[in-house]
Amino acid sequence: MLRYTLRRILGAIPTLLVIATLAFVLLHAAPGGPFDSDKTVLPEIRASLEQAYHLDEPLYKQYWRYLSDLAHGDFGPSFQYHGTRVNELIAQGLPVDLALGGLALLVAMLVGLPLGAIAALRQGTRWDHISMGTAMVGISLPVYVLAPLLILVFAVTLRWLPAGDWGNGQPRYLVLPVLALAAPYVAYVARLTRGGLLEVLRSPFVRTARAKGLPMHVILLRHMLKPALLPLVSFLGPAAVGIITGSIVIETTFGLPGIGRYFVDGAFNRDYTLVMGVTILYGALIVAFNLLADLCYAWLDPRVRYP
Amino acid sequence: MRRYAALLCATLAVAGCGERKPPVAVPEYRVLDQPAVVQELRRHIDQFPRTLDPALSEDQSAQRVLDDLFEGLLRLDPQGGVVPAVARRWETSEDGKRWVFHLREDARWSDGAPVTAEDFVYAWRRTADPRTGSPNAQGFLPLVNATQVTAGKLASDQLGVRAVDALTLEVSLEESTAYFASLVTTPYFYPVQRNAVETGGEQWTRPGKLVSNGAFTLRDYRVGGSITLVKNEAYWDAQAVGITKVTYFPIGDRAAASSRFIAGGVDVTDSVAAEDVAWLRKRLGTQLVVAPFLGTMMFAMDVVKPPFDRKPLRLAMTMAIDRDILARYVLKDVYLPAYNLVPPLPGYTPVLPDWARLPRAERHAAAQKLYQEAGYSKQRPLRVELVYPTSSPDVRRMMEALAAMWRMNLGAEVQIYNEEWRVLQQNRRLGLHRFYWYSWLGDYPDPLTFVGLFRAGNGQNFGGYLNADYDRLVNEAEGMLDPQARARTFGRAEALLNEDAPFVPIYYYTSRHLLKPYVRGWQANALDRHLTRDLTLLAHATDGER
Repeated sequence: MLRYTLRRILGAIPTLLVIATLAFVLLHAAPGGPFDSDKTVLPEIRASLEQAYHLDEPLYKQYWRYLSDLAHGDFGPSFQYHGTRVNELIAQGLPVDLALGGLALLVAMLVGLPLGAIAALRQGTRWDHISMGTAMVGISLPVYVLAPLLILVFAVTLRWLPAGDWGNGQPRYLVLPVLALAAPYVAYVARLTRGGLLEVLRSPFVRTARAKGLPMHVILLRHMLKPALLPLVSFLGPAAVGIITGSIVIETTFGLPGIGRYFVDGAFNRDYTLVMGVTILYGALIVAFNLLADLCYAWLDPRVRYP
Repeated sequence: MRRYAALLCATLAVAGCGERKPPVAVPEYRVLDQPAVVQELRRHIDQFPRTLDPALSEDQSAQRVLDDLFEGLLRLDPQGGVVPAVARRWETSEDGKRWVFHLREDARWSDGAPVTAEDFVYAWRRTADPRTGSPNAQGFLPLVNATQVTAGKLASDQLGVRAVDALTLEVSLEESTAYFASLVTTPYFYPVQRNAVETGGEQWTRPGKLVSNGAFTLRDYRVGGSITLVKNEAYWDAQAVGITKVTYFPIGDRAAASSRFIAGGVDVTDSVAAEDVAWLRKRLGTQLVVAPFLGTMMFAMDVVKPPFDRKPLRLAMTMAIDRDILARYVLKDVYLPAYNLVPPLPGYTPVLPDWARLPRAERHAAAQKLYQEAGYSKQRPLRVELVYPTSSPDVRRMMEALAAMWRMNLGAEVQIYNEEWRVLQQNRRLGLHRFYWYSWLGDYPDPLTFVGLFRAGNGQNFGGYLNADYDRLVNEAEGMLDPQARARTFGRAEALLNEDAPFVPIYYYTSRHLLKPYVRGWQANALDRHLTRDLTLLAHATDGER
């Protein structure tokens, strides 16, 4: 298991290298540069800026410089935020995204699991339709509709909660963004749980347990849950990354200082180092969470063995 | 004061007739004519400032914060007029080329050190030095030797500014520059403290390191998050500053900023999306403040290459647009229709072309005639591409309306397509476009910031417009000291521009803010600069806002 983990981590290095290379090539291939603006920038000043950021060097040199800095854990200086290093931008923004994403994932599980379980155990009844109907709404409602809607109802009309801002992470500032972020995931979790449980319900060991006269809640918690969660776990790996990184709309709408915005703004402003840094970070997160999901698999399903 | 009384009455009137509530709950305020106990202002900005270094900053959001942190020789009052600040008084030589500023002796940095002429000299040299990489360096071009200094051909200590003594600053200009007084109110003319810059290094603009001389100091700064400033007790005019704490919230989504305002999270928003103006006006009434802003949106043309090397065609294109219809029905009264380059300015009346006064049918007929004169007809229509930056659906709608006007009124086939902003900037600079979106926001309240654009050799004259008479008039006006003669000469230059039509003016910009009725001291001005030091909060009660 330890050897497997180590091997996977080492295997991630070439993957990340490919991501970094692709990002570098694509960014530099995009027309327009970081110092193209609507103001007249004097040629000497443009030259001095390009020299300061090594943009005057041939691309292979820039690439090599970037990689060697990266090997030392340095993402370089940001082009658009003068005097700020990409490391600092990420270090300040990532905790916001982790808090939001973690809480949203928690909400998704706490609401989605029971919803899915009810639907599976009461298959075909009114309960099933209600919970799956709710799930459908959650999946179909895009976040850029849901987030302003939540603000309109809870902040503007009812005035129960603030309409945005991070507020140093105070709970009442977190409620709306977490809800907006969690909604589609609640739906996915509920549907996957229902599907998994329905499959297990028909298996022989459940029939045996019921024949032995075990009460339903014991069968559910002790015997069914673990195998039923397998499809959910394989979904949660990438979903966790999606939920951490996918808050760009949430960040913009609620004015939160996460890193999702940097990704978009950075691309528009040709902030090469910032976009590269965020891309590599996202790549690393995907690798890490996929590994985590695979390890959970082994724990949940005794049939899975790692060579 | 009467303005506030009116505002107060309007608010009370709204509060009094609470029979029919709008579907979106809008807070109703009872504003009293006395200052609030807590003087903490919350302002929205459109983006997180890229830097708080006055030399390097170029975005408007940074300007807002810098206007509170620093103070220049002179500053703008709430109406946009120039008033003394760190300089107590100033005088100019006969020929207008030598300016002497006398600094007040009680001006202090936030660390208690006196603000001296040397601080200005250091800051200006630093910005003009190409090694600093300042996008604002060309703002110093009026100064003696600035061209060579910014090009790195002369050392920055050769720049035309020197400290005669600790409290006297002498500036030497290449030409007499009448607008120099308003120029020195811009952030890149602010002083910085050498010691703070040199010891702080890259991070000198962070809390604890930033030393400022304005009405506020930097308390809290979290990259990407809010920025908090507190009143600077060392500021020479501190007793005139009412606000004790101002927090800037960067919110990129302007619709979200409006929601935040209605929900009571901010007291002032920095902008309002054009598409939201109509409903906000209806819901919020006087809380929406729309005012003319020093900027013009136009389409520029490459006048060297075909098809726009033909003057009749250029004129036909600009005359064929029904700007009144566009402004009212497409732009929904958010912008003001423009027939010329320079927007209305204090002391300057825009010079409109003669055709602007023609009735619609006559104007169309004249445009048709010019179109044919240029060699085009129904059988042989003009086919040209017009490039605009990728933006909101409103912009797209306007572009479609314009293309339709050219088709209907001339028979011209104008293909519109959009390019991402940076791509458009680059292609424009490289001269790849013949007909493209061009907007210009004035740097200082003077016609020169606009008419200078079409002068030979100006870095913004991408279309290659060249008219020796025009250049001569602009140069002449630039050197004039008598404001009326100066305005007249600029007017004559503008008349030439109207005749040659190297561009198609569309509209003047407006500034748009949401402003709570309890914020006192706000006045619309052409440069849209609003220093927090001029604002105070009035005592008020609401229907339970959060």
